[in-house]
Amino acid sequence: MGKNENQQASLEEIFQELSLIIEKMQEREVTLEESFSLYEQGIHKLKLCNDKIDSVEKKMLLLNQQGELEAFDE
Amino acid sequence: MTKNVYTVGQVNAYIKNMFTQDFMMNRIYVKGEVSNCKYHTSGHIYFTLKDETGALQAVLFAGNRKGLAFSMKDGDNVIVLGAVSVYERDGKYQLYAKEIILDGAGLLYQRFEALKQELEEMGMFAPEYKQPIPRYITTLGIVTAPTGAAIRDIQNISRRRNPYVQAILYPAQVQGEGAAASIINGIHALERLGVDVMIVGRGGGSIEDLWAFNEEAVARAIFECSVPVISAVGHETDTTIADYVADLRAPTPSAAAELAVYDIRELQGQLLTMRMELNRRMSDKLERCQEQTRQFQRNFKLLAPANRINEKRQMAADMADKLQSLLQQHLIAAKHELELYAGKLDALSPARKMSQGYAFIADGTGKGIRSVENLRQGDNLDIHLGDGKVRAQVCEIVKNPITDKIASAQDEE
Repeated sequence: MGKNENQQASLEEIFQELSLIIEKMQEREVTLEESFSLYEQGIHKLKLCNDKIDSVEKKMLLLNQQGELEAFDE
Repeated sequence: MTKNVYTVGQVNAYIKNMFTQDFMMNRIYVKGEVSNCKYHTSGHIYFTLKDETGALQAVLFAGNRKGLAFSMKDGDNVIVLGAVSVYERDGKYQLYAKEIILDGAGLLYQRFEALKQELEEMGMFAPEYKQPIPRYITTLGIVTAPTGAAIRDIQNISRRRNPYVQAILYPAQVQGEGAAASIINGIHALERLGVDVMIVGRGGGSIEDLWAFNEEAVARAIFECSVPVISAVGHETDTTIADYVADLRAPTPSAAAELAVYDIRELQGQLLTMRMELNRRMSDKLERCQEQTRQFQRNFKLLAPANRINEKRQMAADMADKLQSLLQQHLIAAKHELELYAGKLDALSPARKMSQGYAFIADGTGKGIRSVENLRQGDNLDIHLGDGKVRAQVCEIVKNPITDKIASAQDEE
């Protein structure tokens, strides 16, 4: 999977992939090398999730008649 | 005077016929205030419609009760659809009602029902057209009035659940002349801006207040909007066309915010759980591999050449022990035997005999002499006695003739 694809994936999709990875890691047949690679992928995806959550508090904006955004004062 | 006399019945029948002939009277909307409203046990409803100028008797027969969708009472302003005709028995004309709706609201309600049916038939409410509401959004569009409870509720709940979601308000006029156009503009503007999901709505109000959300143009704008729309009009009991056509209907603006904005703490909790799960699975795997390695190590150790040599060494040592002990046993057995023989020998010892007067005679070399045959005169002899020996020399040899014979016979044998 390309990096680009991951960037565009929604949180839901990443979550689904994470669940799959976790499920796969439980299988006994998976080799240690595979486990490491799965773990790496998992951590990477978790990081992606965190990156996706733009954790900056936002003020409500108002879209005015000119189609411009301005701060919305309550 | 007596020439043109008619019976009451004839007159009433004639008048009734006049009403029947009049197509206006056969289907007429009459509005007025209800008074004297009586629900008869037969199911008929008798009432009077009145205005400032007068009154009109009316009846709704039980058979037409489905034409009345609310519980009518005195003082209600209603519009009655029916026919005016004559009740011959009393010589009175009255309004025979077929449908009764509340004035104002009633008409709107009819329009609502008609539009609802029309759009439904066009498939605009069909579930297959509903777009899924994305679970994790970053921008939320809101089309509602910039003042009032709705925007405040949405803002509060959105901020509480996830302050990182960017809310963008299109301040719309939500009631009165031009409301529909304003709402439509808002939907289009936010769609162009590319929000993830949109809440379109307003707080509670009368059916007239909410009317813009029952306009077909608004319904179409919502239906055609490429961004998923959550409708949130009025209170839980108010349902508008916008609610039917929206991708998701929220009972109130607050509920719409709950549905649109995901809870960030919940998500972070989920992420943490997944991280922990990932770590747990990895350490499980590692532990399993380590355990396996240890087991193989143990097995290899057992199979190692050095270990085999030790094993052989041990075997050799064991065998040596065994040999030793066997030897010991043999020695002991031999010793016993020896003792046995020694005992027997002791019993037969010549020494014993010697103590009784016998002696052992040996030649110079220590060899026992059993016969005179091998002796010559002058030979040295040792005579062994019980307590010592005597050195002697042969002086004379006297052969015993009998003994000789026996000896020679023995030799012959």
